[in-house]
Amino acid sequence: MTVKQFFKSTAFKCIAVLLSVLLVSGILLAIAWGFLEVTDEERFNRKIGVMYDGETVTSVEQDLSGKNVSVSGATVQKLWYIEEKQDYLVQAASRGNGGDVICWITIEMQDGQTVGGIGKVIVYAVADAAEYIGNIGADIYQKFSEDYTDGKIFTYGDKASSEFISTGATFSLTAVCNCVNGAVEFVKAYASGAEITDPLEDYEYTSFIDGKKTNWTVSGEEITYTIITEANGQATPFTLTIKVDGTKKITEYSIAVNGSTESYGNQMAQAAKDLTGKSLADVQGYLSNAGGVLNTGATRSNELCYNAAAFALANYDTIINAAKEGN
Amino acid sequence: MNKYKKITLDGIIFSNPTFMLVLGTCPTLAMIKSSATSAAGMGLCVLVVLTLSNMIISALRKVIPNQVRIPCYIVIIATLVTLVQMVLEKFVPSLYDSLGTFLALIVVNCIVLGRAEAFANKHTVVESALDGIANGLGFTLALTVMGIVCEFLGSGSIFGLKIMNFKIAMFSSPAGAFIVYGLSIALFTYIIDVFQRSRRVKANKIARENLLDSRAAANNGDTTEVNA
Amino acid sequence: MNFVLLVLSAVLTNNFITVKTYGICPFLGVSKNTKSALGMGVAVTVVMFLATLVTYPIYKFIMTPLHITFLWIIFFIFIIAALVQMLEAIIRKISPSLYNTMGVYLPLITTNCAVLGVTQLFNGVENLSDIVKGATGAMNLGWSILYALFAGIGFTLVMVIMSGLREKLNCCKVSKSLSGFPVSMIAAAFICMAFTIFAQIKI
Repeated sequence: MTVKQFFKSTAFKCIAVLLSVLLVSGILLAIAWGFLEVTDEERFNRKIGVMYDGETVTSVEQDLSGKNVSVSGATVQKLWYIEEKQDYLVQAASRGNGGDVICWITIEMQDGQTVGGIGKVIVYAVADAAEYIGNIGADIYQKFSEDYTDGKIFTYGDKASSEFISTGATFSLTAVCNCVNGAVEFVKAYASGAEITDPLEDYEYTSFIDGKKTNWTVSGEEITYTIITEANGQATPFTLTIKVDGTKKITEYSIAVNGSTESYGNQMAQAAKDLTGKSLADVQGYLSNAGGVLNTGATRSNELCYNAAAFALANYDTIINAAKEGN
Repeated sequence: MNKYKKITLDGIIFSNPTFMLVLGTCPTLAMIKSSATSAAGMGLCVLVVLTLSNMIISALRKVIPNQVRIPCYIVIIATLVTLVQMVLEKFVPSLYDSLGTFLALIVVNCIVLGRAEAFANKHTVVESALDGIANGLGFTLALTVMGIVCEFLGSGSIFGLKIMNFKIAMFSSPAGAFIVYGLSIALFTYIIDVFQRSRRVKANKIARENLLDSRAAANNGDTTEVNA
Repeated sequence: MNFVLLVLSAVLTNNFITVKTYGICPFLGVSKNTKSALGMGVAVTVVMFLATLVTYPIYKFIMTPLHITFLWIIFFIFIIAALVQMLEAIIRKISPSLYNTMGVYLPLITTNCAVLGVTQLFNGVENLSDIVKGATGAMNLGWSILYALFAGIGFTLVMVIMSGLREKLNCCKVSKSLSGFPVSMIAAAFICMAFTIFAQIKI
């Protein structure tokens, strides 16, 4: 085949047409991209615009490194100072049914020092399994700013609470409440320049343990803990009384407030019975294989009970030593 | 004129891409379970892409060699989808977010490539455009209706407006979407069946009446002739 | 632990068919008997695996530095189409018997949303790092491929379950307007319901 024949053949025509279609499309798209590109900055401003009803505002991101960012069951991920409004925008995350629920919360300030109210709450992102979060209506997000009073802890997602709202998305709502509570607490401390201290900073196995409410008494070799856990998905907070003696084993494990859903309540009593007499090594085994040994089917409740047991056992020495020094 | 009417009716009803041909099932299921708004939005995006791709492919049908037609169609469709995606992201970000990954998946939606292959490369630009609009409308209407049903059952609201305070969570999950889609197909084909049967009966009846009329007329003719 | 999490997530919790509703066309079209369902499932798994293997580096090391990521749809669909063509030719050459069981489904795969869907998951990479927390840098490619592989296995699993159900359905009397797609879809709905149980899995 000569060159001339090739240029007349179907093969050449095919290649030429395909390439030209590709080229035209590419150029067209490149031009369109030039006009229509949405930059990261624009995307961010768009989200901020939602928070401030379309107003353009200047946001200054605050440096959070070195600060304790986990407060009230939520983690503060980012904090911006909004110059025009002189208030703060918080990005906080908390665990919902499946994965993290990430919220944006505007905290309105008075005289730049104290928290005056909650402006707006939106859900910024959700991890996969939180599909019911759509059930939380706009009116509920509105309630946060309406109901805010100084020192209020929002508990819309807690079935035991008087302000519980039935949405079908209880865990997601709990997560949103945690985010709001955490954001308020964090900004309060941040604006006044105080450090948020973690009461359990020096202790081990502190996940799911409510540091503010948990306490213990020491009598001789025996420690009696009253542990209040955080909520965990379906499970609402547990109140547990755990006794640990000099052998570093649990001598008594009783559930004062059972946070488990009704159908699992009895099984948790069995779990408590099984935990009695166990040492730290045993409990660690349960934790690394959550639900494996004491399989009650109540995974979330188990997680709370095991963590509480681990907390009680692992910190035995620390607490005994502290008590001795105190004496 | 009759030809255009036929194209329109075929696209919307008699070969409705969603109910009769069961094409483009993935976006259908994903969108009707999320909300009526996103179902309608999805339908409109497909409508735009389908109409434009049909027109372009029809205009180029004499230029594109037969051997490379499928890759060419895919490039054209992919370009249009990218354009729609860019426009939505820029101007309607809320819809862009709710359509999610399924916006890009219009490229592999069988309806678009199917119409290009089955219709646009054999017909004129005007006919192809009409076919695109008709099929797109058929798709949009089907998605919107099923989206409304799913959203109402799944959250008690329609287009985001709360109507009643009840919900059956299953209908905002794939399982509910499957059930609504399956039953919709059954209902739609049943109605079309009944309609076509009654039309056939009616046509037969008319034919029979015509026959009787002509016979009567003939008889009358006969009698008049006799009378005369 | 990450690995177990990934496998469970890809195969059960975020199953492509029952949760994400990708790849419904072959799910309803090629599930009349178990043999063809298995063939289709394996073919999709192979293409998903290879497509991720090829598209991820192209996206990461060619398109991102050149700032042409907006062309990804055209790029990816061409890559998938070429891959399918090549695979088909190779299988036909090497093993005609394999071609008969699996190769005949290959041409259908180019327009399967599961394949484009899986490559799309990774151009945003953040989605993946949600699944596998702590995966960074070069590790992402490995996780991506694994995720694609197990998503394909999850797809095959549901295809096979569906084909079993449909074989049983053939023996049942179904009213005329319900037969065909409607009754298959209602059967599919029950599979989906069964799979929602896996959303409760937690490690």
